[in-house]
Amino acid sequence: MPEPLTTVIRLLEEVTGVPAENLDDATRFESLHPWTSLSALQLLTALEDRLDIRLDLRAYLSATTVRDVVSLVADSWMLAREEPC
Amino acid sequence: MDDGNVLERIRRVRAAGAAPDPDLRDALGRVTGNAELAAAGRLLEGVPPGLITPPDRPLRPMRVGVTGTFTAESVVPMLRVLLLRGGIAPHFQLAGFDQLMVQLADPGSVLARFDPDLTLCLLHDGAVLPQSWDPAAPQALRQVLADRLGALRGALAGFTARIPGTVLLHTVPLSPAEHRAVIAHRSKAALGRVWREFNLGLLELPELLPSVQVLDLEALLVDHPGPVRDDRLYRFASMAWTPAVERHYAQEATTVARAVAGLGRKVLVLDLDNTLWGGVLGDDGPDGLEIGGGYPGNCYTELQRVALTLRQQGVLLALCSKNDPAAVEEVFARHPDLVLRPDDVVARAVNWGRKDHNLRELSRTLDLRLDSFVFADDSRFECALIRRELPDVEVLHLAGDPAGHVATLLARGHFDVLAVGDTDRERTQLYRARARRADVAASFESAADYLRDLDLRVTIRPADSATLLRVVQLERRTNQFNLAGGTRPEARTRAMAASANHLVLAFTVADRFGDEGVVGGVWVALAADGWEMENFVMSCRVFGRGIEHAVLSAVVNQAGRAGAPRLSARWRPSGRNDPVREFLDSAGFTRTEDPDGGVRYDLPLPAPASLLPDWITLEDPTAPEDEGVPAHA
Repeated sequence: MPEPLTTVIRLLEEVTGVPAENLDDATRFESLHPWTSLSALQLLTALEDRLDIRLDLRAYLSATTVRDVVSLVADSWMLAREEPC
Repeated sequence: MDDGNVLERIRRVRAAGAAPDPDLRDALGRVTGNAELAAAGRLLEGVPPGLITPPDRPLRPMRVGVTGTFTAESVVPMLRVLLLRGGIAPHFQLAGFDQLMVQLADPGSVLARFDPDLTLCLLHDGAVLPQSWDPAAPQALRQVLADRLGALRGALAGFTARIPGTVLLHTVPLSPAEHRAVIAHRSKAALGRVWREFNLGLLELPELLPSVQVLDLEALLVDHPGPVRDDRLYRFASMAWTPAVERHYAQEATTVARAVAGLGRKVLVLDLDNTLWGGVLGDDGPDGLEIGGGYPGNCYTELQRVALTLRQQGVLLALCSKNDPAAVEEVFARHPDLVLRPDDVVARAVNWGRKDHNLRELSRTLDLRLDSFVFADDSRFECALIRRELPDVEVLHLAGDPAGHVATLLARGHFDVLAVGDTDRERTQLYRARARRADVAASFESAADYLRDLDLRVTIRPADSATLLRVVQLERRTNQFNLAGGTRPEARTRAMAASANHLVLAFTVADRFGDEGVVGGVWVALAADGWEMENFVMSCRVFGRGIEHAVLSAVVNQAGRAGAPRLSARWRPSGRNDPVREFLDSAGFTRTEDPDGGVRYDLPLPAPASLLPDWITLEDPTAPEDEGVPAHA
């Protein structure tokens, strides 16, 4: 399982073109240019596609920093692990 | 595959003053995931097309307009990658959310002023259905849909009268929620009818407006796994398609764009053994081929039927096979289960030569460029050779279960054109008459650069409990590379393997793609006056890579080390085993014709020169450390 922070930053770089070295867990999405609702959805679908997860859109849209999204991803992995096996 | 690497390469060519990366265009085919494809497309925006393709394979510029009834802009990056990969350098003009009718109807619209070569119109059910409708009165819904279709037709008529380019529409899948919201089954059926009438109306548009094309997306999505719509994206951002459907559409639209640009492929080059029929003609004989009847023969029948259908629509069929031409001719003339007949084939390259040279020759003979060729073969080796030597050729590797071959052949619409006319049906005849010759001659020059890159390793060791049965089986199954032209009982091979006066050697081949396993064997009688190869067999799967030379060099070395004064062999004709004689003729032996038609070969030892090709690493556990290293590697 890839490390969530690295994955989120890599995908954020792909969506916005901002180099990964300028991004960290404290990065605020609003501070990125250009950051639109479409960018937000591109990041969402990229995360869901790569990590095979599904995030709650309301929770996702209320995330303001990279850290918030990382914790949503981590929660969704936790849920996935709690599935009976 | 390693698409992270492809994204990295795109980032590099984006940099100001970056050096060109001419192989990048082909590498784009390795981008697999939907998110990666979109990311690659966003990164490629603004990259000069000349940087990602070699100067001798320029991309065709195309102005592509995109408009829709929903937020369709995320289709654009995917389209960019697929079009570039397909040989088209797109210049996009996107007209935003729910702009479709305005863009088509208004002569001064952004799209109209852009004058697209291809206009993509993306539709979704929500824009076609009224806000609410009465399930008890499907006639009213029908009227609404007919009106909407009429309005669309009117707007298209105006647009296509002003703009010469092609306009692409598509049939619209109806969301299952609409269907399920209606509870009476009679009414569900009525809704289905009314909806299909709308789609039918769309499908009729090309008959009324010649520059309009309609993709039957509803039909194409039958094979699509997963939902068409992600309701979160739809409700939040009016995106009517999931990324997977966006990609599916982008692939189909790329096929249409290639057809618009005249880049549809025209020639299908087919291998024979295990491609057009199951089995190996030279080994199994015409009666042993799998074709017709039940599984798996029916898979090959179906492949031939599809090839015939393509031929009837103007695609030229050519053969490229390592085989005996007379035997192939015989099969085509007489085999009762073959669907394809000699007249269906425009040219043949049936010989033991290199397939890349054969394709070049076919291209010359037919006077058609290699970028109009599709090459289909079951051999990973041949496919990789063509990909490397002839990047213009589209290579289809027909691997695995033959039931999947037809889908592989058709999946990407390589041969799609906008329309087929009467002359297309006659094309095979036309080209047959025009071609300089129907049969292409072989070239035996070795593909040394390619073979060096393969990292070929041949391992030869005495047959043991793990390999003996396989060697027995190979001797039985192999007719073409079979020195003795025959076979011996298993007990005899076992006795030879156990005897001090004999050797049974098994050899395996591996390359950077993987391990081919045991591909042949050598049966040797050891005597004081010399070693004699009683048989030497090799699977025809590995012909043409120098494997037989490497094996012979190992036997020569072993005999030399054992102090044998010579190595000999006797070739007995079986009618099918000329390839092994041709090999020995070229291997430096002295040759004596037998009165019975056979040939005796003798090589005094130690041999003057190593037969080991420099692209093969020979692993012979009986050899001292310093052997097996090619002399001039």
